[in-house]
Amino acid sequence: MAAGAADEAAPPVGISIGKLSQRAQRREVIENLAPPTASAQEAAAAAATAALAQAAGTADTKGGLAGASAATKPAELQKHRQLSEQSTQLRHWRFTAEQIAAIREQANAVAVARIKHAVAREQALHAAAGTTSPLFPAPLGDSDYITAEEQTVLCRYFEIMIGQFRHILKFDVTLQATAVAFFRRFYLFHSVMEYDPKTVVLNCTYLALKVEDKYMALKDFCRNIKNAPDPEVLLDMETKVIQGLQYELAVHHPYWPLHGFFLDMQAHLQTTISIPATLHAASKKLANLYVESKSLLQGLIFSDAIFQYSPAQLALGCFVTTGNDHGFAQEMARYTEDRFLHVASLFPHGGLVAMVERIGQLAKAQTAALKEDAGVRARAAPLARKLAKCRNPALLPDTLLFKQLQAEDAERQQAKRSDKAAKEQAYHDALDDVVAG
Amino acid sequence: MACASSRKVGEGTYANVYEARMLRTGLKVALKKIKVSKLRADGLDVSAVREVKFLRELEHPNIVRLHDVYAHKGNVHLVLEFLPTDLEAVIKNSALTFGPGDVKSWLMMALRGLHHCHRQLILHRDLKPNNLLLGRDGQLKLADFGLARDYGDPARALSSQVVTRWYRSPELLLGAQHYGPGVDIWAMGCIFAELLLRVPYLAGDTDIGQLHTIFRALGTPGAADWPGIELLPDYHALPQYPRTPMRTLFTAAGSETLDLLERMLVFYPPARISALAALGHRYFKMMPPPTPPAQLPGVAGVGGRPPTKQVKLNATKANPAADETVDAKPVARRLSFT
Ligand SMILES: Nc1ncnc2c1ncn2[C@@H]1O[C@H](COP(=O)(O)OP(=O)(O)OP(=O)(O)O)[C@@H](O)[C@H]1O
Ligand SMILES: [Mg+2]
Repeated sequence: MAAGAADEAAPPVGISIGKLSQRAQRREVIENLAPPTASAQEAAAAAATAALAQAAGTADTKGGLAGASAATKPAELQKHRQLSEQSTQLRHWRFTAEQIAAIREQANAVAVARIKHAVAREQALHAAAGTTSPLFPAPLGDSDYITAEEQTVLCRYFEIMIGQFRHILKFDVTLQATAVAFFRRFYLFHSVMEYDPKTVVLNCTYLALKVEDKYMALKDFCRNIKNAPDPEVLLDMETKVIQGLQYELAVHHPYWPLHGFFLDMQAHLQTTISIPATLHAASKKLANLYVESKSLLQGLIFSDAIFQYSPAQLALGCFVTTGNDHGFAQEMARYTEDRFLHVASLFPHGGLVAMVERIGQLAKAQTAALKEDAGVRARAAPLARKLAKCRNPALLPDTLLFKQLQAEDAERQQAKRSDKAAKEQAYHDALDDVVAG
Repeated sequence: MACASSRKVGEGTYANVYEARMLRTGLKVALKKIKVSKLRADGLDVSAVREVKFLRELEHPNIVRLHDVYAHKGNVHLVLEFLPTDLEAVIKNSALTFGPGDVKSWLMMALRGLHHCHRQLILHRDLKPNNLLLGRDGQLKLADFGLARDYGDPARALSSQVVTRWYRSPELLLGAQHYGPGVDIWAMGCIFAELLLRVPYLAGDTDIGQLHTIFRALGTPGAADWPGIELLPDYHALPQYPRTPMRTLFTAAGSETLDLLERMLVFYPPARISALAALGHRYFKMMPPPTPPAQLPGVAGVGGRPPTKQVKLNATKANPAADETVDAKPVARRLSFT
């Protein structure tokens, strides 16, 4: 094995799982490379229905987030996907661009309808009390609501914020990517008008700390973050967030497959280059490309690409693109041909080359976008102001509607309890009868 | 509410488990209700987070099936397939006799479940007879993924405070922070031995004593047995013991049996056999064949676990997040109308 970035991170000898994990990484790469099968309209319809069901708060938590798994696939594809097929990420969180847009529109429409209704109730409650609602003096017009598109702009601001948390709390890029994925998954199906992104972004980060085994006390977490809300607020929201994520907490990222490609390509170089000096130079170059492509990946983590491609596809896309841009195109081409030509059927729509191209372009655009941090803030600010005026009054503790709903809920609970008590009493009476009898 | 629960069947460190019925289908299930800590300071218990995370991803005949997860009154509930007994109860039930084919069958099922975890790069990290549950049909299933985690990322250190003491591998006892599937294989080796002996094989009484117990049974590893051992964080001058031939303790076991057992209990972690290789070992091809699950001792009610746990395993569970010891308070049967 040639020297390189991989060796720096290797665990001390004697307890080395290095070999094993390398094999595992390489295997992961091969097995997860299959692209999504676009069963477009069909799955879009299913996803939209699921979005509707979920956004409407129905009990069907599992929903039919059918993703891309509905289509029939050739046997070869089946074999290669066997493992990854099982991951909830592939089964439930893969969508085409059209599906993503449809889900967002649906979720937004459902939220708007619900808020319209809630605002009307809030105003009616005020009217009955002889007051006017301070939050909703007049009915909201259609343009007063945050649109699906505006939501993505606003969310972007909070996603970038997770990067700041990373520096404060010193967690790694994988954990960051998990937090971002949680946040993106959540807001794919929910509206910022109903779930405050200021809170949810913290919930997603805290949950990622738990999921990625970097657990810390919530009070320490809150203490470290500027303007964090009371821990109680986060606790109240946590269950909702986990539920909104369908209790699917395992997220896979391109970092690992990228490392796998790097290792595999090192091995491949050794089989194709026989002159030691040339091999040495190529290996060194490869190590640099690996580091370079890691930063190219960074932008993708913050984009819809995480829904559209598998982690392995994103990794390969970035790796090959970086190689192509840095005078390593020939080696990259030889590698992909040797390794993946026999599974060419895995790559529809113009094949591997086209896929790499698409991902590479996306990655460059996204990584460039990441750099204009100030722009994100400037674009989000007016939307945050707009958001303050269109939030669902049913979820705001200061509204009459909120109090009304709470009272109704307490009443229902009370009724249930007394019903239970009555049943229990009846049971004891019956028991007494038996004992007495 | 998705389930109506009736009877409490078990209590773990972070959850209570009830026998329940799914309202929609009438299917009998185990309802694992995550305990809410009195202060609920940190929200959902991190063990519950792990269990949900991994069970959602794992689907295998030898891994407990997670039917559903739902929140009720701010508390998370796991709906698991119902498994009436576990391997610990069966081992302890002196009314049952095990044949070699029975042991083979249990080990095979356990290794199949484990291989499925490992090939998805998941470590269980709490294998012990009590966490190997048995179905009414005799199928063995890995359960309790509260300590599980992904492995293979060399940049990330792992906690060595995992696995219940008697099943903890020597690298963990020496404080290794980078380890792999070997820790589960070691535990599985201890379980294999326990099936043969009907008592825990390496039952140390303290964490330090555990290493002594291991060396007393298997001999102290030398530098050749374990290259790099001295680099482990908690390495110290090891007490020297000669190796006792396995044959002296496992008098009734065949040579293939002992060969596999020895390969599972190899000191040097990378040289320890993998779950897949173990499944391919001659032991499984030799006579007698593995007993069909339905014909295993203890199946269908015979030797089921007692309704409430009477004795808590002597070995303390090494979960840093779970230091409260659960003692076996008799659970008052409460009437439940749901
Ligand atoms: N699927 C199931 N079917 C029937 N009983 C079960 C099931 N799962 C768990 N139990 C019972 O509940 C007990 C506790 O469950 P489990 O081991 O999953 O919880 P835990 O909190 O992780 O416990 P610990 O960490 O102390 O081992 C088990 O020992 C068993 O008796
Ligand atoms: Mg247990």
